[in-house]
Amino acid sequence: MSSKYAGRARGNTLLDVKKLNVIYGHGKDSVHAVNDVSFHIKPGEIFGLVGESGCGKSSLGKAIIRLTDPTSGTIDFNGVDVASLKGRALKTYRQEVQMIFQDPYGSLNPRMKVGSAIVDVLNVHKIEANKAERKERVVELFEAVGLKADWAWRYPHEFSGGQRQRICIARALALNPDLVVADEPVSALDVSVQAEILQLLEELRAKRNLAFLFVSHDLAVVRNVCDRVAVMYNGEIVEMGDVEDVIDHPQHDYTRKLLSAVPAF
Amino acid sequence: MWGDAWRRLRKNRVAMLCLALVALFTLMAVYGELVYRYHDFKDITPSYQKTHLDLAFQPPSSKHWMGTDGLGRDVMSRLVQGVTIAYKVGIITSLIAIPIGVFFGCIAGFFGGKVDDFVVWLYSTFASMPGLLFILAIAMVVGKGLLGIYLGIGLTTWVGICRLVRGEVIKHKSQTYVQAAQALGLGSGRIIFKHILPNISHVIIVTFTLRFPAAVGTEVFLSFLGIGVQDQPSWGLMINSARMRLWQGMWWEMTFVTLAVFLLVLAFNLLGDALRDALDPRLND
Amino acid sequence: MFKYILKRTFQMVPTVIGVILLTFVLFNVVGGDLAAIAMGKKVSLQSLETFDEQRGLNKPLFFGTRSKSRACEDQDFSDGAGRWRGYSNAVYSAEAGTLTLQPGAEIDPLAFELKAEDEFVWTVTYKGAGTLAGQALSSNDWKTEKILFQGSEEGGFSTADVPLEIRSVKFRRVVKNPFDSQLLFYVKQLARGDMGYSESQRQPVAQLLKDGVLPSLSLTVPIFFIGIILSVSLSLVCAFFRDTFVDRFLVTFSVALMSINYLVYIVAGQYFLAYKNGLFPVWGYESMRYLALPVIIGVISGLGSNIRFYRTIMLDEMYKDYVRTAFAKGVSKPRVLFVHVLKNAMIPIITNVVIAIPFLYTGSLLLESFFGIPGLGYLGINAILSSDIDVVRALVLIGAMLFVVSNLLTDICYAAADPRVKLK
Repeated sequence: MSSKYAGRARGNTLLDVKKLNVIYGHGKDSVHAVNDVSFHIKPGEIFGLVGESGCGKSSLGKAIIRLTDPTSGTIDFNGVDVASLKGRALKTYRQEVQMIFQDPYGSLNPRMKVGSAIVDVLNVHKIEANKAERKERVVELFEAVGLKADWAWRYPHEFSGGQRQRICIARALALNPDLVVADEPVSALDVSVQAEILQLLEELRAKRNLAFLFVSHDLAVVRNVCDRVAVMYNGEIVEMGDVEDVIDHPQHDYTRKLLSAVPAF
Repeated sequence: MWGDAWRRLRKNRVAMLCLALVALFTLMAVYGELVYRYHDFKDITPSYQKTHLDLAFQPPSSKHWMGTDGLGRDVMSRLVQGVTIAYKVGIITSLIAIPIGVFFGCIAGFFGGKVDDFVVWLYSTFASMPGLLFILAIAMVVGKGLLGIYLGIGLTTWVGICRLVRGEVIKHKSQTYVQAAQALGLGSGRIIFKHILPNISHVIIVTFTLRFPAAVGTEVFLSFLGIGVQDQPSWGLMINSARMRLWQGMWWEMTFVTLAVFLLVLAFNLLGDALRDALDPRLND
Repeated sequence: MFKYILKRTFQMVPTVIGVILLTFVLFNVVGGDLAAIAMGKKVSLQSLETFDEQRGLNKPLFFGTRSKSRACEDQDFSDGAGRWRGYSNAVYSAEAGTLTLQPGAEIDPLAFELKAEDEFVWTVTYKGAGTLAGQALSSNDWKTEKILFQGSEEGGFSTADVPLEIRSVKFRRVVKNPFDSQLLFYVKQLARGDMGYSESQRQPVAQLLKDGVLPSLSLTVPIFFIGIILSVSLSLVCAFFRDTFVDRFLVTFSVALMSINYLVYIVAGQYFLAYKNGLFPVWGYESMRYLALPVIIGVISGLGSNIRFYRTIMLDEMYKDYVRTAFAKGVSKPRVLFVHVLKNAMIPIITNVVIAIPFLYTGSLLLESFFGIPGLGYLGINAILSSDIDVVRALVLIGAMLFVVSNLLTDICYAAADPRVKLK
């Protein structure tokens, strides 16, 4: 997988997570959500993270984007450890790694026009020189995710679930990230809409060489879109490898159990 | 959301009647303020302050619709000035209480932890103070007059607003759009005031509508007791002077003033209830 | 349970500290010159100083080594001569902003005799020569000097053959222990249970409070119980006839009751029932008969908000599953309402009731003062009107403390009734 980012990324690795731990709470009430997890993602790769709910996959995703603070370990992004970034450095990191959430209904501010929300983000990061250019940028982003440009000045409640998820993707792309953490991006959508959104993610990967950390509980979806996959259980990664190897020749008991629950395999 | 709420409100006949009444009172307040400013600017004594002892205690007539008081002043024009003072108190105390309550409520709800502990401590301390007596004590310490009233009422009513806003912010903070905003690198201040605040503005509007009449009622008390307004025609002062006259059979000043207080407070209370139902049915005290 | 009570009591401590701090800030910091508020500006500086000293107000607020004394105010002569204008052998120049003491002058600017055991300090900016508090001043240029002296010594200025020009003076008392502050004095006073001294009644506040409790309770306790019984019953009627004319009428009626100002109830009650019809005495506190009218007014004025509150509780309860189950099983409506709903609604009702208890103690400010019932409310209003600081502060503080305590009691009642609460 050679790409224009190959030279920039150290050893052809975009994200390198080592011995990451996330512990919530203190003392006897604490929960060890992520336990000594290590993996890496290459530029332009779609990396799947599967496991049942509560296994820590969402916590891992949020730790990587720094919505939760990791307790220990390193998150090496393009050669910089981002695990303990603060303030301005963290804000810069936000431009490189973005997130798409599971619930397309809750992740848009109901009192803000969807385009204005994106303009707001551009303002904060001082991308584009003036208001007109920022609006122009919003139009480009809307077209890139397959939405009509003049829809940008409507409120979220005027859109369907699939359209909202496209808006969320457009918002994530506004900062031109290299990696997008997609936390169950299609599981709240109808099956027919799911396929369209997955198609869009594939397209974006091809056009922009965008890498994804694709968090999902749905093995069928993971098998469809991911290059490599890690299986998480109780906060630990129990198996990792190319998606075909893992799904067709599972090594770990838990993976087998997970697969047997899916009728298609 | 506002459109829906307006549609729901329009169907409620009582609420529309109250809205009309509130609009009428507001007009009277503006008119009263203009009259006051005009006389203040020209430096002349307005007619509602001029005494005509020969005209004292006249019952309602075509010349004085609501009669005259013990100093021969027209009750109706003094009543209108009373609306102005009531509005000033309602609005200024809200301008003191709402920003304090919203600010503390927002930061407590959003940041949680130590900030939250501090704010909760602060408002539980204020909430422990015995209501009217605390307002009176503030007014006493600050000194007689409107300033004491503003501060007394303003510094005690922020607590309720703070508590409500804090709860709402906590509710919104767990929603994904706030997390998305954080992931997009937006600062906390921007998230709180540009993203969350518009979503809870209806709470603030309903609270304002319900606090307003309470503030007016308290002003009437304080002025009645002689701690509030000193030389302007406040409803409290009017009730105080009319009280003794009532026993001599001069019923009109007392009747009209108490009717005005009643209508204003009732209109705001009912409107506040209707707004609450229209904007957010889940929100009840 | 014991552990929970202990934990909750411990959690109460910050609020108690908060209440003490808030009353301190309100009266000592915001209040500023309490002596002037209490006694007016027309009394002698000596008596203001005595007032301050009795209440620890001559100390620094929180911490400090110097404190102001009323014996001499700060004076910067570029702003005017102030009290210094009166001396015949001192010449004030507004342009230069200086006061010049002529040769041979003897000026004692201290308003009253200082306490002999205290130490004081002058800070003076001067030119020329002379003495201050017995110590020589001499400088050809403007110079600022601090002069320390004992309260038993002479504290004034004098000059010999050369004039002394003064630009500004400051006078301070030396505080030996920097922690000996107003705050510490206040806390110590509270720890002793000393509530202060009423200037207008010439009695200790504690005595006034003791005298006022019974009349207050004799008014508020009947209001409290009659009010609860009446409003709970009416709210049950609302729940029973939910969404019918009766319910809507009662709800509108409660809003109307709430919208009538307290004053109107009092004035109308006194006028129509007592004065016009002579059903009740108008004013005084001699027998039970005198209490009837204020009690009626008290009950009615609180009825509106109470009906609304209890109605909400009842309706909340009526939407719960167990009520539907009971109906489905064929239990009659009155039985469901009076046995099941009322039993379960008891917890929020009790909460609301316990929380109201501190207000029983402070009495009703307005009812008491209008009907001449010599309780704490009457005391409070009079104290406010006569700026009796100590009384007002004591009432505010006691009201707040009782609120904190009854909050604690409510939580304990709650935990006793519903064991799940303790887990939170």
